[in-house]
Amino acid sequence: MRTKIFITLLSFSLIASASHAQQYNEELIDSLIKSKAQAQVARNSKFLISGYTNMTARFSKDESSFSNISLVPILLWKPSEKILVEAELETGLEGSETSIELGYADVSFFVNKYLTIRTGKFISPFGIFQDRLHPSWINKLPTFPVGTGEDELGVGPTSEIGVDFRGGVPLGTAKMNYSVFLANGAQLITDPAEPEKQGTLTYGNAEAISKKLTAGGRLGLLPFSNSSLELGVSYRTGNVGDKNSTYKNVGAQMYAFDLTYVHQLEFIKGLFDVKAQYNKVNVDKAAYIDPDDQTGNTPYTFDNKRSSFFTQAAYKPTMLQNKFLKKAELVFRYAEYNPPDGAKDADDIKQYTYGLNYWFTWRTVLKAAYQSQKDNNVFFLQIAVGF
Amino acid sequence: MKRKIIITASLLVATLIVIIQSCVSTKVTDKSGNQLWSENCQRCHNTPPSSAFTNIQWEIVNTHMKQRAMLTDEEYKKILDFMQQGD
Ligand code: HEC
Repeated sequence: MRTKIFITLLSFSLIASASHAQQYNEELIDSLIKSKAQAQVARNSKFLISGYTNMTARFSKDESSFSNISLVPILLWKPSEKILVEAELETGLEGSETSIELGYADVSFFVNKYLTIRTGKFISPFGIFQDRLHPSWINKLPTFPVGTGEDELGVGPTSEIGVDFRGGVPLGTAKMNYSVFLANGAQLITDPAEPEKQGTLTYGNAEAISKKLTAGGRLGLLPFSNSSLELGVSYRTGNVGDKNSTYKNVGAQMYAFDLTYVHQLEFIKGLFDVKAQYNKVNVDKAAYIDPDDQTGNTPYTFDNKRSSFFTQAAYKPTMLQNKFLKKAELVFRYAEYNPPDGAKDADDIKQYTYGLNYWFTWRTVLKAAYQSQKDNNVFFLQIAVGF
Repeated sequence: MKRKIIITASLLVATLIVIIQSCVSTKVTDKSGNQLWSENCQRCHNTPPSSAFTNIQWEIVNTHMKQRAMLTDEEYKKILDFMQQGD
């Protein structure tokens, strides 16, 4: 936590000093005063408080409840032409516990047309779900696809602390985008007190867990001039074992493929939206203390490779005249999670989610969804509002 | 695994059909801010109407999207121009 605050403060003071230095280059005192006054006005006003809030009700055979209430404020600040500060605080109420987490806090420098440098804590550019689709006013269903979250079933990074080089590049009638980062390593969980988590990773750590930094990135290609299709590949590699432990040489390589297709189609009178992502995480083989072994002397090991996948299709009849139907949306999503064979509590999960949404505005939505996953069938109602 | 392949393959085929249906190639340079706005913002979320924000707010939002969505510089400029005129 202290490191997070430190990084944030450091970033803020960097910007402050950079914009000050610029102002002292003015020759005339008059224009200096004037420009300073203008800068002050501009600096103060280029603020935007944005974010989202949501409330979910869940109904299943055994229980019904209102749960998962969250409020996520986002602060955006553009202190000068070339700088943007973004910070997100995720607050939530799950059961009787209130959680507050720093979603992201970073500073972006727009270096030139093709390069933006971002530093701080940022959402990992690994696939598309976390980076682009997870806010509840964007996510078309009330749940995350299994395998994309921050829980022990998460396959792949959600956030990073480090520096990221990114940009969009036109290629004639096509275009591409890239995001390449250096960040703190993920952390391998080895604790036998949490057997179901042994061999999994946590991301976005502020401490130096491994000796070296982790590198990764994503490359996206939009082959058509109407930007309807995007194909992306992501990769991330680095050590994940604690540098002071026997796990210090354990590394992890991960990759993802993603697809986005969004287009308004005359013959179905509406917007057709397809998203898909495949994640794979390979952690080097390591021996873990077996919680089931009374003596504690026989470690166990397994081939630590896990993957997840989801594909989602949505349809919204945007071209109909009917004011009500125009704002309705049908969604289907299939998701699966494949844990490594031999890990504790490792079960495959296949998840089917069917949704019907009603969009009051472009970012206020009522979602109804039915999710079926083995013996666990749940009906959800969610209200999500972006602001 | 088989199910995964079938679902993905059928989605890909459906996608290909619609792409072929809708393939008109205009260089981004020749497109208006209006067109770029209607093609790009919907890729991730619903497209906001120009009345949703003031001009200064649009500058901040579009700068955010330039960073987050990696819009090209030209797209950013043209879309911002369009959003601010509509105000
Ligand atoms: C590649 C995906 C993507 C594209 C394309 C995109 N956005 Fe966004 N947009 C997002 C995400 C993700 C957020 C949520 C930010 C967050 O919660 O951290 C967002 C948030 C917003 C917000 C809320 C305020 C803010 O800045 O967070 C506005 C307004 C917005 N986008 C407008 C636009 C406009 C206008 C366009 C088209 C020029 C656009 N977006 C294109 C992904 C995208």
